[in-house]
Amino acid sequence: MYAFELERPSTLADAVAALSGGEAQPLSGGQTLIPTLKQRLASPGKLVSLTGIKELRGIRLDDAGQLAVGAATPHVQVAAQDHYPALAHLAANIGDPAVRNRGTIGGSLANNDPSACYPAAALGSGATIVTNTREIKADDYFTGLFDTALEEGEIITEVRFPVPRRAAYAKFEQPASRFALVGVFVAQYAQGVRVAVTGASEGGVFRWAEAEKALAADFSADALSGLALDGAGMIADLHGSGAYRAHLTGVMTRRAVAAAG
Amino acid sequence: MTLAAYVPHNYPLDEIEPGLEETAFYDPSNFTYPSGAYACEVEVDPETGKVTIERFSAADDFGNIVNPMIVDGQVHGGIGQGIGQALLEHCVYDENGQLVTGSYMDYAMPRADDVPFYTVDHSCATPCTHNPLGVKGCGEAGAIGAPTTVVNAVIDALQSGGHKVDHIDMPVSPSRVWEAMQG
Repeated sequence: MYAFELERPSTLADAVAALSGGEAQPLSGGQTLIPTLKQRLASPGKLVSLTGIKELRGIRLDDAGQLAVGAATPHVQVAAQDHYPALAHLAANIGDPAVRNRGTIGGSLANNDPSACYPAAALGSGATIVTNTREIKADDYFTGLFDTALEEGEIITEVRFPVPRRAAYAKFEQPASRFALVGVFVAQYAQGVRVAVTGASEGGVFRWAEAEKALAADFSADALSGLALDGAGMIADLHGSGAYRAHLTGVMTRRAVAAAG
Repeated sequence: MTLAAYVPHNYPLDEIEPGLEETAFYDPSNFTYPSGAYACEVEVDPETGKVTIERFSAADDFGNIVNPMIVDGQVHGGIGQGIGQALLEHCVYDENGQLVTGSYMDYAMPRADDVPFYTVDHSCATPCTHNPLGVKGCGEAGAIGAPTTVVNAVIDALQSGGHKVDHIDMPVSPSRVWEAMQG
């Protein structure tokens, strides 16, 4: 690890000011960033820790009945809430206890790892990503592999999830890392069904439109029979080909629908 | 005499050094030949190719056993290594010779929930005739028996499911099993 300065602001305004310098990088739970620094794959001059900012932590239901999760809220707290059980289940199966006690929802969404679980929940729920300057719809937020709509120095403050009628997340784990080789989040709302897939695509998390349409007409695993993605554009690595990931997307979508009940 | 050799305050140090050393070599008349039989039951998820080990039993003849708990532990550890080799562990290099499984993010070590509880049996104890203790080697038995047992069980499961598969390279990962099932 190279030397760096560390700031621990206690207010959002101080954090925004500290990040305006250019060299600085925000640090949340550090479950990706710290290992990256340890391997000397990054050398930021300054880290600005966001976990000491009280207004970024905690979970509440907002006036519209949405589940509002503060960006610096660790996974273990999301796992413990019972307003949105599918989201709790997803959070309870990220990494291991150490990761869940440190890692945060804002950190996960800002990093947008193509195999992370939270992007599937945010996109699958049509969540709103709230930052210090604006509100971004999940459909506009995920722009590619490790890429988001966030501007330089912009900080996620809260993620608002509309609570669905029913939902579930089905993850097939990569055997070594236990990240999602393929993870599918399915949620049914009054307006329709959303299906978001993580781990599979070279473009990062995506919505599976054909499955959404079929499930809107008939919310059952059987409604998906005959639907298949092809392996083009899917991640291919030592853990599985693009065709395998495309196949698993179908399997995990059916399992998520079955689990949603 | 040993005490005197190590307490040299009244030694004639200019004539002899303190200390006492002796080395002896034992040349056994033959090696030891442990033998055993291993069996395991696996389930293969037909949709994903994921293999789950439901039961694993190991019966070994290690001759006379001095400390049964240590021997059980050796077998448990060996089976864990063998299951890791059969299902998970894989060093992969790219075309430039770069190791791409250089961390545990990609190199899959067996973890507690990858292995079942084992049944081990050492009730058949035929004393070895090649050494005075009648003992046989037990350290590597689990790691030798487990890989073939697990992979043969997977092949048997696939064949009983109607798939014409008679070989899959280790590690028998979900993607490899799925590909084998595609024919």
